[in-house]
Amino acid sequence: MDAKETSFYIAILIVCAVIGVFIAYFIISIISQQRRVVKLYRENLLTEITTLEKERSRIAADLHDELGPILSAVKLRINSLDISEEDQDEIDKTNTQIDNLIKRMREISFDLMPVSLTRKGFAVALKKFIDYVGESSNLKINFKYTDIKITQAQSINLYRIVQEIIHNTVKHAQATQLDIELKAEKNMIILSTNDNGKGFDYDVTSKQASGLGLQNLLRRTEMLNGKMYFDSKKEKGTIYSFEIPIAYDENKANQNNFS
Amino acid sequence: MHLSYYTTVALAFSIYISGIIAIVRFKQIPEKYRPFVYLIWIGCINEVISVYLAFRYHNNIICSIIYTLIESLFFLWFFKKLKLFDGRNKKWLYFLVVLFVGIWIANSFFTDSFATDITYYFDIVYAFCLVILSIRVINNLLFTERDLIKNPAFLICIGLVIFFTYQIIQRMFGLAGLKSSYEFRSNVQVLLYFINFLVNLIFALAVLWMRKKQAFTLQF
Repeated sequence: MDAKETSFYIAILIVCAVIGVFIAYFIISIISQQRRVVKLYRENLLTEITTLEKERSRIAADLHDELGPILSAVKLRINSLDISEEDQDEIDKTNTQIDNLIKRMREISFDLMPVSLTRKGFAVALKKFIDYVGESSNLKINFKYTDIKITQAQSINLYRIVQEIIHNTVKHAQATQLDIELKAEKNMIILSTNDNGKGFDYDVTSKQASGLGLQNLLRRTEMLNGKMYFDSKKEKGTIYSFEIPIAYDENKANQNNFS
Repeated sequence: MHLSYYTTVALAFSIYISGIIAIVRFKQIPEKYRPFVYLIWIGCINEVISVYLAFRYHNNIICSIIYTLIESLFFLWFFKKLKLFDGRNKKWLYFLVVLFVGIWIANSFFTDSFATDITYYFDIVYAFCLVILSIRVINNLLFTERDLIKNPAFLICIGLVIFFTYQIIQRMFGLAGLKSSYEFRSNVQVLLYFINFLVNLIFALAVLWMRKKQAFTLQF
């Protein structure tokens, strides 16, 4: 190369180096910016879901601890009245209505926040919910689990995840069998479910109104810093799998206490 | 900057790292990354043929010209698999296919340099389009993925942005220096060998991270 070509070549090298620095800066900045956004998003999600669960917990407690005893007292007072035989029929009808009211109120309270979930933990609460579903639908649910130490926030969110899956299976999947398994593997909580229903297309469903349930699953998983996998094929059922880091921390467990 | 023939061959053959990883991990590679994997393998074959032609006839330009067209079309297929041409954007796919093939034919057959020199104009146009498409994919990934470093599509697109940006620069300076000495033009080409090596390493990492089990995430 002559002198002119050499200086031209040096100019090319400088241009390439400058563009290299720009590209490197571009890559580093988008990665760090994206990490910041993810962190902020998770914090917002945590606040939103914690507020929601606290409110649910408060309403459930009010229904269970305040309205329940009042209704029972009303029933007791009605039954203690001295009444004629003619009015007995009306009293019996009123008693039945109050019983139905108490039963429905317990169901709503249980749906909002099962007392057993905060007091006895995830497995006990889920077993109760499975029994309840078994009584009111044709879905047969098998629940297998190993005892894992998890925070209350984790147990509430895991419970909500399973509740949503069972709800979807009953409402949309037309399945007769649902297997649920909870185990620990390599410092991870693994929750997997498998049904024999009609399956669905994720891309189609996630854009429809029924995709709200799926979004709910994703939000809960995201909040637990976990990952959600699923596999669904037409007429071949749906398999969900969740991987949630255990990372049990007593301080965090108390921090995220919803009750 | 002078590189020996064997050094350039060694740098070019770095594509075999991702090619071999792709063979070993093929069953775990999701459907959407298959066009990229096929392209890696075509790249591996192309390197062998190029070396053979260079060794036998001292000219492998024809191989490079055909490979660039195949590469451009495979990348369009890859971007289609990444859902970049879904819905209203479908017409862009047809437009780009016609554009690439049209410019390639014009550049290859209607210029004086048929089979004697690189298709400069075609290389600049398709490199420019691939950089733009890669940036679009990166933008989409920012809102759907949580761990970009481990995302194969992100790594591939970063590799494409790096390589094709330099390809545009190299081809531009190549065009500007067409009347310069052979030494000058080969020195400009040498820069791309190193960039190609770096990008091949990024691609190898991307192939390593391809998992069939895909985690689902919410958009922000």
